[in-house]
Amino acid sequence: MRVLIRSFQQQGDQRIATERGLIGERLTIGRGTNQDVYTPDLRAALAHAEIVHDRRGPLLIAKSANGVWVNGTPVESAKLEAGDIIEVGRFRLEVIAVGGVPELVLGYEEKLSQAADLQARKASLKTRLGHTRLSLRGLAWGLMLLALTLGLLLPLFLRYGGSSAGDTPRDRALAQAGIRFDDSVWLSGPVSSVHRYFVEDCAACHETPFRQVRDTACLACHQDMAQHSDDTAMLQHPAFAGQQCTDCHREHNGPHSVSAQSPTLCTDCHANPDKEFAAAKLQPASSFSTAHPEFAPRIAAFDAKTGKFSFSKQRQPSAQLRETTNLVYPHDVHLNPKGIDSPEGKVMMQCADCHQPDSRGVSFEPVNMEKHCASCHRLDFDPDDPDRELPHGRPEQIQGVVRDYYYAKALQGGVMDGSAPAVVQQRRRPGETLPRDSARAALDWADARARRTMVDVFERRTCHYCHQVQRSDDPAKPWTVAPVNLQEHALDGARFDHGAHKAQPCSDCHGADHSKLSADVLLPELASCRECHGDTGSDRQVPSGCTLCHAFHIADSHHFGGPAKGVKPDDPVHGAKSAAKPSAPAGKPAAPQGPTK
Amino acid sequence: MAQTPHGSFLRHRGYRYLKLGSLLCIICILAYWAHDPADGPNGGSWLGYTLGTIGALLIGWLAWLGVRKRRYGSTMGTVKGWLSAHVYLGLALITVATLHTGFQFGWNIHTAAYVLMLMVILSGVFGIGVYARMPTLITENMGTSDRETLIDEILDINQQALKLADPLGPEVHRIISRSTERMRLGGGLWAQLFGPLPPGRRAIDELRKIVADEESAASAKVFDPQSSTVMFMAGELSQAKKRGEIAEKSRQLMELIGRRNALIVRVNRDIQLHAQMQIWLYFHVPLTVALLAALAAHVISVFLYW
Repeated sequence: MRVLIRSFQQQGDQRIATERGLIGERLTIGRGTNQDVYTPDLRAALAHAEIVHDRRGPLLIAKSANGVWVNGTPVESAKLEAGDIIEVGRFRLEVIAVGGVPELVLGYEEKLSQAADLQARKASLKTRLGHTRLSLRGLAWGLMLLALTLGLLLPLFLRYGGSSAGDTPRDRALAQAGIRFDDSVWLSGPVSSVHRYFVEDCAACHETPFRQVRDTACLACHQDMAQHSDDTAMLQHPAFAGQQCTDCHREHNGPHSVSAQSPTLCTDCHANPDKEFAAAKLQPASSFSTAHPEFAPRIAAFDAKTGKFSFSKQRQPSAQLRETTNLVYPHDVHLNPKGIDSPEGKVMMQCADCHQPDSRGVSFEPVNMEKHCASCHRLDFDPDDPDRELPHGRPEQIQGVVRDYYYAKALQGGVMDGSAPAVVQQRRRPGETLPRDSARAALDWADARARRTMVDVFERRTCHYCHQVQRSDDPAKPWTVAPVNLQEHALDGARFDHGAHKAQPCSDCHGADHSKLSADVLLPELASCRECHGDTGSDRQVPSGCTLCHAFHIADSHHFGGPAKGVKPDDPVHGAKSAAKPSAPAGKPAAPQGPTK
Repeated sequence: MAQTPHGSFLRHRGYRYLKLGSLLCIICILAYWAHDPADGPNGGSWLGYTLGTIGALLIGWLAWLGVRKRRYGSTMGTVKGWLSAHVYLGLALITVATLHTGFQFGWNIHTAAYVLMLMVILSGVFGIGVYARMPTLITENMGTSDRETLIDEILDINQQALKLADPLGPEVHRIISRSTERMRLGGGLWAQLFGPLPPGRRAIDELRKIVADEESAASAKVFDPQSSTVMFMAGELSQAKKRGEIAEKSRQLMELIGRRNALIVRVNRDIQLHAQMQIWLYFHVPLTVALLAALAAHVISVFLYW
């Protein structure tokens, strides 16, 4: 094997190479002075390694059991290739070329002096955290970029980078829902369930960056939201004029309703309404439990002259209230626990026999004579024909029915009535025609009989039983029945959901079983509500905010953000002029519309 | 902890900043308790904005410590005072920021900023803990010497050992050479934090075997009854003497390596204690920077979508 050893030496700035050639079977390397390549470093063995050559090329063999460091790892033997680095202590042997002539060219260099080597070894020790791969600066930059990218840049790009297609918030939200990464990291809290369907379209509410949500955004969908009052002067008060939808309706606070539940929103004005709104003549209300006005039900009074009902709110204990219904109906008789007589014998009646919930379950269907009364209160009028009944209708109609009945009976003959004329008592032969004077006599009897029956029906029995019937001088309408006022939901200022109170027996609130008169107002008193309901925050009663019963948007004609729908032409505020432009933009939401009176 | 000189910043000026921080917490809690916004406590009420502003200013000021402590020329308070305020106002920040959230949390940048803040504060609390404990342990371990001197000594012993081993034959040289190369001082993150493996006993065990072999060989040869000639006996005696020397030198080597290993253990313990004392900064500082970024994203996003 021929080997060329190229020794490098640093002299000043220059690197000088000297070459020497060797021929032999093997090339020995070590600290021993007899070695071909002399490496005087105490860490090297006297005979440290040798290189032999076979068909495949030069092969390094370690002579020390510690192995030889080739390319940074200790090995027992290694086939050498050009570029391999053999380290022996502080000496560095580089395989420059193999396989040519000579077979091996080896670079030889003393890397460092002994002292410098010691220093270098010391310097290479990793003894501080700063020496490790952990980098304070790298970590800081990495985490900052991560936070900025995910928290700011990506949502910004999604908001302003792409164009969201669609005309409605829902369309735009659906278009955005397809994007895998969304800007939901910016959501400050869950959107209420009613607005959730367009949660991806932030701009639906947040129209302009860095500006608070305005009413225009709300009114884009919620057109014609009623104001709190129809009093234009009152609406100009700062309490209304300066208000924004968002003052009461707060979003991003969870899936429940956006309507604020805090009672102070109402009591700020209603605790002392006379202070700012004396004209409205409102009762102070600052707490349901302790300071809430008594109920003021709408009570009907009947004017016999005009034959019409008039209604007025009356704030009195309901036990003292009487309402005209023009109906005779003692609740106590019907609800007698021992039962009430009926054609089928004794019947025990329940409230629900007559008061059936309406389709929403909130209130009740009106009581109906045919459905609820007629099974007991039969409208029969002829004791000889008890199955025949009158219709429940107008007096004229009944008069006609009764007359027709007796006319037919008289003309048919065979009436078992000793006081009747003979022609009425006689049985007719088939095809027989009565002579004119006989027929006249029969019809006269029928008229008289009908008259007697109707006096009986209207004034003594059937109708008279429940209705207020008056005899009149008009022969066309000999009786008038006063119109009936069926008591309805009589608390106009509040909602009451009967369905929500289904678990309570009716008698908890309504004293029907002791009521002898239909004029009794069977509404409960406030105290009865207070048995269960208390102020918000109460933990002994059902916490009940104002909005549980009362609504805010109650005005009939005054709306936010534009003229009202279906305004009357003579409406001084939304008259013909303002109604002529129905598509007026939702411009100034809270400002009162139109000229003041 | 306040007795150690390193903990003295906690007692700075009679706990002035502890009192200040506590006062801030109490005011915030009282305000939160009295405040009853229509839509429940949240960051968007007037109190929410107030607490948020206080919190953001506090975060900015707390982060400024990183700048202030490098400004040696600054006359704006002492670094010790700053550090004391940093600790107590940083702890008060937990109250301020938690009340700012109104206890509304979610998978969003806002809660992320809050969690980052808590992580920064927790890492800071850990830092206070180690700064109170570690210096004592470091002094106990190192005594009056320092790490540099010990490392020099270790490298010096290695050189000495190699020199001593060289005349004792290739086997002893190999053992010592191997031992010097395998020696571990410090190392990567894991090795620094939890210590590298302690120096193995292999070199010493191998040397002990050689000592035993050489000693038994030396004594066996001296009293070998089979030996017949005087010359041979003389040769054997000199051989035995030489072997005795090898045993003696190997014994010295063993002592040297043992001493070196004890030093390695001490140095590695020092490296470990220092690493454990400083690792919290590798959380505290980068998390602070991330917190500042998240805080910016939080503020910008909240007002962009006001």
